[in-house]
Amino acid sequence: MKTAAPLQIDNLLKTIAFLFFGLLILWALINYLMLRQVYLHWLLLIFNLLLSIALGWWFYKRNYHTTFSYDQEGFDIQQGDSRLSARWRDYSRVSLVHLGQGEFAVRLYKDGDDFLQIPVSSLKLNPSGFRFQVMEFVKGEERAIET
Amino acid sequence: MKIREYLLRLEDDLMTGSGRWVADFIESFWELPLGATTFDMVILGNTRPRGFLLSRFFSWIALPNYPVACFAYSDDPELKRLTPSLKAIAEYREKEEMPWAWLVIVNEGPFSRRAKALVEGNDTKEIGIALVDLATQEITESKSYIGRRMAGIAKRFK
Repeated sequence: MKTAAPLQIDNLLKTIAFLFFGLLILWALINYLMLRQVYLHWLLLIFNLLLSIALGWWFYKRNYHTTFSYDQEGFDIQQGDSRLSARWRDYSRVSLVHLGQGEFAVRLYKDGDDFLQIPVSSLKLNPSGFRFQVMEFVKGEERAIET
Repeated sequence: MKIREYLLRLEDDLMTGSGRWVADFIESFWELPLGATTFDMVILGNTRPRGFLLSRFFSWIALPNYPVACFAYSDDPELKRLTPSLKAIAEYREKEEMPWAWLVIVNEGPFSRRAKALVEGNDTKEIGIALVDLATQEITESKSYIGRRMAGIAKRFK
């Protein structure tokens, strides 16, 4: 089974930055409400940064980090806390979706409009190449069932 | 240039390149059966781009919101598959309430004179047709505005 689980640097940095400024604003607000002044110090900022990194890492792993394993038979995808295993034959159609800013995903459709989305750009896979590979997997499974 | 290579370039251009000036092409299907025919590629989009904050607000107030599509198939120099393809597209357009669509027919050689005349004489406003000859890099388009617009986008040989 092939596995892809790259670190999504942009999501991690966004989370850390959001927490850093959020904690800073919260600290300033509490200071002002209690002491009527805002206490700031380099050590405090460093502590805030370390805290943001630790919390950001935890939050990233819980919400964004994606691990994707696949072979000819099926795949296993874990995004944050949610996990799904399925076989390619469970799906009938494959499409490539542009999510914006050059990010792509591969959609797997069951009968009707129900679909599952694999974030191929986040997984550092070649979007177009992977799409064709998945089409072969889906078709291959169909042929096996027919015979 | 091979058909697959050309279609990949066209797909890329529609989804991330100059095609975005016409519509926000989001989703691409390959080997999609539709009605009595199978299209090599179908790209679906919408005239209202998604954007972020200001651009999203601007597109929401200023741009129309309807679905559009680009259909493509290959290896039909005599245009024998044109009628079932147009029928399938018309049915799809009606189902999805799609005001217009493009149809690109790609061939690794010349189209027949009859085929070219048929497309050049087509003035259907709702479907723009472009014949792409990869050998000579010649494009024959239908008369309508949508067809002429497609001809500009279909020039993806480099």
